[in-house]
Amino acid sequence: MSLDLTKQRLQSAKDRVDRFIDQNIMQWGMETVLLPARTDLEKSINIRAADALTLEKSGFMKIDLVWDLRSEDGAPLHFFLEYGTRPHTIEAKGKEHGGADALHWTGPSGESRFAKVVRHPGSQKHVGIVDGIKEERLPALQERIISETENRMEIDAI
Amino acid sequence: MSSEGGDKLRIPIEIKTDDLKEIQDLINDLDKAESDIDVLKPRKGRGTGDATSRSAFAREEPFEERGGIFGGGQENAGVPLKTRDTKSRAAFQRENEFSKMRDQVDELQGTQGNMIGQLVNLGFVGGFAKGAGGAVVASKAAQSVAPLSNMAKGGMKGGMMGAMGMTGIKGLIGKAGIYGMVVMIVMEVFQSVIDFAYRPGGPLDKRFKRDMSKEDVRMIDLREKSDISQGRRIVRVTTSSSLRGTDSQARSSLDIYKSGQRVFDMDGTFMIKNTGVAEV
Repeated sequence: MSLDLTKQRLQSAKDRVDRFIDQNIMQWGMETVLLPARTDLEKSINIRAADALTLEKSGFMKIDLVWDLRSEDGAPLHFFLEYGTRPHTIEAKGKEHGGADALHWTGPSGESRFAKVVRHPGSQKHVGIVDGIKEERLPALQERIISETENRMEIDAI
Repeated sequence: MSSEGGDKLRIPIEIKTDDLKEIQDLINDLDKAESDIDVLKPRKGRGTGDATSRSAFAREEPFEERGGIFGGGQENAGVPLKTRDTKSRAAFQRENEFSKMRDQVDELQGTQGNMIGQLVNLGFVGGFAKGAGGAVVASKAAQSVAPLSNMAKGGMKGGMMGAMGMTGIKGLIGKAGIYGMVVMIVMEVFQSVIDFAYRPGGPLDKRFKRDMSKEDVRMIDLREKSDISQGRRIVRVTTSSSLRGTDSQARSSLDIYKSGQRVFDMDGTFMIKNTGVAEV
């Protein structure tokens, strides 16, 4: 009889492993993926970009890295940074539209530059930031899952 | 990668245990253990079964030895089959593993007792004979060993009286004197120590032992054992007079298990505890 009960327990072991991972994946994802990624974003872009990165649970044993970085007028900067931009034209809004009459930026040697219209060449510099974070941090998360699961099974005596 | 959910950038991370080799190995080990349990379980009916199993149903002899149409050659034709003799009036001795083991233990125990007694007696007689320095004394001593031993077992007073009444003992005691008595006491103490050490369950008990910690019990931890034992012991008894005397008067969680339902849930929690499932 006890052998049957042991067999039942063994049969449920895979489900218990999955449930254990599901229950803890947010915590492990936070520690192994999100926090290091925020540090990287803060160094490479700014603290706003880092704070805009979060982690959400999206299903059984599934989590999403969510990046929602917007400008003051609500433009989805995270898309521009993630996918890059094609060459485009930037025009000054003008005072009648609540903006300035000229664009201003700082040149390579530090001098101020002004123009009404500029042709932006497009941005490919930061393409795939969050995707890269996933690729870089996923092995650490998997390693954490393996070690935690083995510890759990050892403690729980299967 | 997607932008669903309010134009947010979402990078999904999905963990599949199939992709994690170590986890997969762990699960494979569990599957293997599960199949091992099937091997360990006793089998009913005919068949050679598992030769390594301790199951009482394992057949010791292969069918091939039966001869005839069951794999034997023509040379075995006419050899009586090893089957039960249903025509004989002789009582059919039913054997089982437990009675076999019990007989083995009895046999071993008897051998131990006889052997130790002989060794002690021989040592005493030999030593005494050497001390007396004569073959006559040795033979007398050998004859007297049994009564002397009985004397010591029956208590000093009664034993002394019994010994004094025996022919040959007086001379022996007279020659040995107080030293003989000391030897007898030492011998008896030695015999007691040997008996104590070889008693059933004693430190030198050499009978057949089964170390349960090395068997399947170690596959479940104490908490599991506790769950199992609690599950078996949960007995609910009704006070309803209308139900008295019926089969459903008392039930346990074992009924649930017997009916083929799961006792543990996916999380390994004992499901039917305190759920009232065994109510009548």
